[in-house]
Amino acid sequence: MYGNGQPRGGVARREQPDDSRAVTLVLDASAVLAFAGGSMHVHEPVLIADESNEDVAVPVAFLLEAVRRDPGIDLHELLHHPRVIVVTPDRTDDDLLLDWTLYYTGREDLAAAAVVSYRHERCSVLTGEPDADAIGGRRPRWVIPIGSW
Amino acid sequence: MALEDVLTMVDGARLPGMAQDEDRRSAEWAEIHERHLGERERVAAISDQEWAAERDNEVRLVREWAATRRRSAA
Repeated sequence: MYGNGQPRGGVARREQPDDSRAVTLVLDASAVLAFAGGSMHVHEPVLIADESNEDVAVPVAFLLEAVRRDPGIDLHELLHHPRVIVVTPDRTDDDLLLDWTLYYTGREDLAAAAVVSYRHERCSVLTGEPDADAIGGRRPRWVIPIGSW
Repeated sequence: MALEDVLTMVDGARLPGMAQDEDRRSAEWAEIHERHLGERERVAAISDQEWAAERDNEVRLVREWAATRRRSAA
């Protein structure tokens, strides 16, 4: 499994007090588009998360980016999936988000994924653009390319 | 498509080629499933300490890079 998904530090995470499920996977914009398109490479990890009683997070920034790329995208299934939650980084992480956004040359969506996954232990990011998430010239281990694991 | 073919489909039988398509998709799905389980095992094999240290180092790198960038821009 990806891990226990417990949050660290002062945390960007869900606020529901009765929600103890771990977030172990973040879908980025490319994964959102692939999910909406019916890709098995995205549906399957979401299904496995469901079977493992884990949650899958989609930062709002990625929803916006997905819609920007494909204004006709159908997000109904994704947004009504019982294991998919839409998240935003916590306000306490504004500075961190800003630094990551700067590092990723203005890509606030990538920054949000980095921050959200950082705040949930063993949380990976599923993406069709793994090179965009490189840090120090290499792809972090929490970045999982769609269809190539 | 002939009415007989349609009725065959409604009855649950599969037209020629459908079985092959389903087998191929099933095999592909199984492969994806196995690959994803393997990825989860790969991540699980990393110790908590190593994972946290790696992520903390990345954050430190990014924050130092951003601070340097701001100083040079000021």
